[in-house]
Amino acid sequence: MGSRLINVRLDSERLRKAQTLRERGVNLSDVVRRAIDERFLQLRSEREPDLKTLMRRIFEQYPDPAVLPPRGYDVHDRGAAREAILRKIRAAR
Amino acid sequence: MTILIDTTPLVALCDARDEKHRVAVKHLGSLSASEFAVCDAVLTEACFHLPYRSQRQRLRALLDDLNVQARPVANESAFWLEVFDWLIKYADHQPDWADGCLAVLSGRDTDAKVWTYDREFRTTWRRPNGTAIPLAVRSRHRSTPCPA
Repeated sequence: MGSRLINVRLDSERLRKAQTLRERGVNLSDVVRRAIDERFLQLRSEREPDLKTLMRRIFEQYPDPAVLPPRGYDVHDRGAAREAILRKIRAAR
Repeated sequence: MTILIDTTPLVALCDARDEKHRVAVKHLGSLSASEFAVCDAVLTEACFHLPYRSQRQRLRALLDDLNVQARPVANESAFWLEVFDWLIKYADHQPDWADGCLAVLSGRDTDAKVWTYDREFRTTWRRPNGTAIPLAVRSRHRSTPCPA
């Protein structure tokens, strides 16, 4: 996996902490990577309520027409779904 | 962690009349900390089951808003051959191309989980190396996500 160098500016207090960590054998790059991963996961978990809003917005933005023909088969039934596909292919020929 | 989305959850999310629509929306919320990915075969099947303009507009919006990634991203012809090998291995069970794609993608990305409502992923299909395919949700009749 490729990687890129990212510079981070530190004030004197954080610089002191970083130097202490390094003196104790802590790899600062690992600290930064772990902090990024944790913050990213936190950010993603904050999406949950947003996703319900997102779904509602999508359905509001793209509503079905008043009359939408029923599907006519159970998409969760593997056999029925396959039959429906075959029917459409045969009809198209 | 990446969630590979199968056809049925995508269809259920985009069709409010689908029997699994509410469950799928619930699952989406529980999987929100993950990245989502989908393959061409799944989109092909989803478009068949979602033939109307409004349904496809919703599918497009969902893919865009969730930043769903395309899989595989490289080695396309090698990927096809791997899928054919898998289909041949499971020929007695009549798998579809999309099943093979998901099984092979699961084998390639061992951290990935498959979000599906097809019971064959629990009972029958395995990765190309014979190991179980990790699933993102427990079963087609339950709404709880699998533990990480």
